[in-house]
Amino acid sequence: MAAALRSLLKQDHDDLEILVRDDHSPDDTFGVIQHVLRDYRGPHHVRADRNERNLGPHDSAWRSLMEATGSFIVEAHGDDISYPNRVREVASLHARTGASLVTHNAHVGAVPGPRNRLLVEDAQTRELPGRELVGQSWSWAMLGASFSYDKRLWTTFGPFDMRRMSLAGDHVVPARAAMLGGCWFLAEPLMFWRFHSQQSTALECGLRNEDPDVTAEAKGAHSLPAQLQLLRDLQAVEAAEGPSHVRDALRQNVLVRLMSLSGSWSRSRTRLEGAGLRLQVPKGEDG
Amino acid sequence: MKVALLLPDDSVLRIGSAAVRAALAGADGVDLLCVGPAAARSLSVGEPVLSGPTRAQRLVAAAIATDAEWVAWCPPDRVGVSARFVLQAGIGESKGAWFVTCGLIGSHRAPAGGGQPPAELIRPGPTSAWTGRLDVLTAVIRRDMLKVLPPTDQVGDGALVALATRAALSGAWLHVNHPVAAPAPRAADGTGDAGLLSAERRTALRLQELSGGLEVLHTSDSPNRDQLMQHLLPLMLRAAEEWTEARRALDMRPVRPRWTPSG
Repeated sequence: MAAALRSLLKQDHDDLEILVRDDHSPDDTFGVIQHVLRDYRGPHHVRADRNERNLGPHDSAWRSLMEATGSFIVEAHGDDISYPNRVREVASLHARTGASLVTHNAHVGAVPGPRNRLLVEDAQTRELPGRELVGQSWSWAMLGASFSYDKRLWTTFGPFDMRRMSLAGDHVVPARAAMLGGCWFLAEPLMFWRFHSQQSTALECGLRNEDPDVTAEAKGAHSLPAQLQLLRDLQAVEAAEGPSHVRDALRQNVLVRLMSLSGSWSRSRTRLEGAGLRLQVPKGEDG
Repeated sequence: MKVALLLPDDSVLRIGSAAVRAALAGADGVDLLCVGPAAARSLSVGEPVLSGPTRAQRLVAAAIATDAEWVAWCPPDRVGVSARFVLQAGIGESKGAWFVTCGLIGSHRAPAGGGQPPAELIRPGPTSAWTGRLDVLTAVIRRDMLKVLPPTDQVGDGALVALATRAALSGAWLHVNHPVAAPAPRAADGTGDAGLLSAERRTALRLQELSGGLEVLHTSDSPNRDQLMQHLLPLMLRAAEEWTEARRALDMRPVRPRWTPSG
């Protein structure tokens, strides 16, 4: 956490507003934040807040988003190290292209080091077209930890309804951008992204299970809501701006993807049930 | 004309063997075929047919193995309905159709306590009646079609709805506007974890049914395709919304449910 925060303080972009938020961590996270910031005398405007209760990552980030005064927002997660030119490079691409969302390459590993691999090998800086963003499964170019966006991307659509959505924001946000000013991927690695085999979210959600049908079924549970969200988003944009060929094509892509996803989800689920398994709270863990 | 009525285990276990016997009392001339050991044991009817890893595959294998001209499935709570239908719906007048249903569309929403389904849910014609619900499995199917249709890689209820969709696409679906008794109302979902799990399973089944039909539609070039798609797609989207919300309610619990052996 301390290294992640220091990497933000070292950004070489002028006039940066840095909003740090601790989501009511049970450990000493907020103390670490205060310690790092105590002696900071640099050019950036920095503010640190602690939620009065745990809100979850989405709602916590939304609170910071609403408090930000800037029109272009760079996300920085608590365990990733941003390189000093990260904000400058993504803001520059945003200014040149008008992209609503900029994602970028990264070095990946358990600890920073010279042997870390690239998130996307042989990458090219390019626009990610809508048909690619919704017509195929998730790709590393859509990694949420690398998101930077025009604030209007969120004010147009509003926050996610977390009764419907889970991890799938990474699927939805790039496609939302394609409905507005576009989504661009920057080939240059601009951060160290921490990744290890025990990544808790994926494990908790059954997305990395020994049984391929459990993984595929869980994937349906996370991916289908994202496609449904995109249909609602398309409807919202059309209500505000009227129909367009681009959005019609996007809708068709979403519907085809929905059918494909629900078909493979259905097969996996039926195989699990055919094998005598049921989705249930394990005995002894049900409180 | 010989008709085989296929009884899977869950049909018999759900409503009890006495109720099955009562429902079948008027179904003379119908061969009864038990697809699972529990059904065979409780009804004392022949040896069970057990072939194929999934319920749907066992049913299809059992159907093909008979010498009947028409076969009927019995969904878990529809034994009485199917038996009456086999006798009443007039298979002999099917005029080239190979998939025949009766007036029970929408019966999941039948009034509590049974009785006649609401009139607006009984519609003539194959495409306008197609809701993708499991209710269409109050159907009878020509056995030879089961042998010649290209296999679907859908399994479970999705496979059966895929079959119905193929019938609709080929114009070989005859819907007889002939209301029969509504099935017993489904049990309430209950509350707490049991209720959440029950709601998740119920909504998942619905989405599985519709997925089977939509996959067939998606790859079809039939002239009926667009009409059916317009009809089924909104139902599928609603089913997907209902399932994802039910699943999310489970996943947001402090202890997530897992796929573990039942029982």
